Amino acid sequence: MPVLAQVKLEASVSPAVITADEEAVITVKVSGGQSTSDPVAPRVAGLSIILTGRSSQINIFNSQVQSSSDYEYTVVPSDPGEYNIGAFTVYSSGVEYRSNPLKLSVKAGGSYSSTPSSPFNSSPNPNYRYPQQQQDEAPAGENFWISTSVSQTNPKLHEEMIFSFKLFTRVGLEFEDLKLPAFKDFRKEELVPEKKGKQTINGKTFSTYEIIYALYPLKPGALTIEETSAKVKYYVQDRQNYNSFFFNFSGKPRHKTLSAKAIPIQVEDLPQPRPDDFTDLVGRFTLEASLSDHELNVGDSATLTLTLRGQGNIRDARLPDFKLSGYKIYEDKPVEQIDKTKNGVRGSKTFTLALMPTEPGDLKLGDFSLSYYDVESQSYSKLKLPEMMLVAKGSPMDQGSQAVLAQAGGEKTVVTLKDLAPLVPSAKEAFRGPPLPVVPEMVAQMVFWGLPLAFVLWILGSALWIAYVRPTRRSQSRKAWRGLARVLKSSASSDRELWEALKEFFAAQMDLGKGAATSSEMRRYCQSRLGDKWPEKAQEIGGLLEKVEGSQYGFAGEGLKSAEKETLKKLLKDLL
Amino acid sequence: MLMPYPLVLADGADPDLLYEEAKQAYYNHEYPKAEDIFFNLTRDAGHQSAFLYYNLGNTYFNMGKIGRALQYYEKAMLYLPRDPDLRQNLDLARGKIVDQVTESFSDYLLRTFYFWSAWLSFYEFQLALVVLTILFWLLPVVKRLRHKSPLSQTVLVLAVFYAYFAFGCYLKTEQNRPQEQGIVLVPELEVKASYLEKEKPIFLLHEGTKVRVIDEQNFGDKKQWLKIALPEGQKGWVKANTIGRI
Repeated sequence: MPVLAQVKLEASVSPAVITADEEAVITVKVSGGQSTSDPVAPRVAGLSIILTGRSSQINIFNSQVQSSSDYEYTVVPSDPGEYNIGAFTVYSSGVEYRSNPLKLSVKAGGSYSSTPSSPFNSSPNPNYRYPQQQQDEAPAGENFWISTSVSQTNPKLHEEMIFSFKLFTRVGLEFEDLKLPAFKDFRKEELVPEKKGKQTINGKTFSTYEIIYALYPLKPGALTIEETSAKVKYYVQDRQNYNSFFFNFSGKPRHKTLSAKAIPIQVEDLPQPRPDDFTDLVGRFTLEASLSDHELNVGDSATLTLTLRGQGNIRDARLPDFKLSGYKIYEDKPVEQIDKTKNGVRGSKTFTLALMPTEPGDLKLGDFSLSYYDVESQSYSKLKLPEMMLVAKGSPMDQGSQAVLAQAGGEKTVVTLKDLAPLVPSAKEAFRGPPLPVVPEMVAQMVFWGLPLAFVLWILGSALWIAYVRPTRRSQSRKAWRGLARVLKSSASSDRELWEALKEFFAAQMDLGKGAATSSEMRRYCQSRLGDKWPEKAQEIGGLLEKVEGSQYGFAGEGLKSAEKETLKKLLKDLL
Repeated sequence: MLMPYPLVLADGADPDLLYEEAKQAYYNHEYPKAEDIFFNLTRDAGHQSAFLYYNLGNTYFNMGKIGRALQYYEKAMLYLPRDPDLRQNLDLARGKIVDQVTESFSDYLLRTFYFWSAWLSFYEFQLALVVLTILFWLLPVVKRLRHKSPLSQTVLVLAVFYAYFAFGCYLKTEQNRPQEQGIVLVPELEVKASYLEKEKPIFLLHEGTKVRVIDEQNFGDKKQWLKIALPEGQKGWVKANTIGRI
């Protein structure tokens, strides 16, 4: 079984003597032990001790486990003086282990021992158009700084130039605010949105964060790429992770605003005279062409595909005016295929043209050309189509029977020949009026707003009616019916009571005031409700009502018998 | 039922003869002359002559003025939505539009849920709605007068149908509000962010594209500006004489 070795701490500082502008590195080697904490750095007034790196390894030798970790600290002095750096401390299984103390001598004045070379010089790729000119040199003794640079400061109008923003850091930090230039008077295209890496400058490793844009000047003359500023937050001690410097921090936060100067750009205008077929295309390009048909009938169409490839302002590419005698030309939306690298924008733009002959004849397409400004030869170059012949057959097309060009899915151009329908044949037919006069704006407005409003009001009204009015009527009706049924059932009830109950019942049915129904109204109501379906029932109710009404005044003999009361109850149920 | 329109021109000329003259000019490819006569006939016949709009559309089409042709076809379409010749020529003219403008949401709703509405003119649609409205409100009133509940299954079904129809009419109204629709009349139209002459264009439109006119500014007879909008939401100002109102 492996045995754990004893924990040992060794600390060393290099160099032991520095100037106030310089920094030293302390290396703490922790060996032995299975799990130890990270060393705790001593606090020394006048020195910032920042954890900037860590490596570890485990060896098993003769059944003995030997683990070791190296911690690298950067020591940044704030004042000259002789400093005693206390022991670094680690804990393992509850036991404290301490390193040897160190001494550091910081002399006054002096300068950065060696200026770092341009960070871009370490890029060996000879094809880079990527910025070579460093705007800001690495500030002496700084652990982090920003720089901006451009690939050239005197481009031609519309010529592609590359702008780079770069942050260098040896400490963990995060952006609080980054203000990149507005690039007024330039068209901007983002090439590298966010790139993290590492770079070694004068033997020191820096983490880098980079944003790259392609810029295209839109006007000649003196232009300016505005200042860049970045507000950052960094931590002075107890950082736990050097490699991922945008997260996981501990320690005291500090804030600093970094800036990079504005860059003056002198944009040269393109030489005059410009070719007629020049459409502001600047860079290096090639042109390919293909024709779907070489022979067709008048009214049919052939598709000419032009593919422009190269590097430069290809997104701005457009064809010059393309007129061919005896042809109608319909241009489809161009299709772009763009590759963005840190060296610029390259790719292709494909133009699709439908050529439709309106008269027979031969057409040479080799006459078409497109010029661009070549940034390498510093002159205009002409791109020509290969010699292609298009033969149109048939008779000349009437103006009134031209073709319709329809776009299907943005890819294929379909031509369908249709005739223009003729004029209205006679004046009599042409002068007849339309079905309705023009609706004035006010009426249209009323329809526009009034109908939805009316409908909403209707819904609200119905809801209120359902919620309040209908239940009230129903409950009154039910109450009146219960009262009438009770009177009809009771043998002790008088004819007057029965008549009053009937008036109550009919008044509720007809939604009248309490007991306000007259005998004629009652009969009419029965007739209207039952007359169509059961006229005999309506008549029977009418007769019984008359008998009840008469009996209470004494001129219709006795009141209703119990059998008649039962019949009346059955008949009145149909009214519910 | 269509009734013959009693046309009397201001100068007393016989409109039938003028019509024949314009027709002859048209078939002899003398389009400017045909345009002149048809336009005068349209002006004197007033807005009610949809067939003359159609003839003017044909004339402009043959003159290569696609914007104007579309303007008059669209005007005619307000009155004659079921005319097959008009539909054919309108399709033909629309096929020549360069700009591919996205369909608005209300157009999408109309095309999807009210596909039949293309066969009704705006005015027929409104008339149908008026009839339906009267029925819709009358039925509950009659039921109430007959001492019956004003709410019944019939009324509810009618309400749902009414809501569907009213919403369709709302969409159709939005699509056809007078004075709001316009057609680009010039081959290329630079649309500006404001009505200042020196303002840079913000986007470009081409002849025949249909736009919505949402505002206007007048600075004298020759300095009228219109604010236009596309279904995608882009807005800008153009000179009034570059847009043909439908």
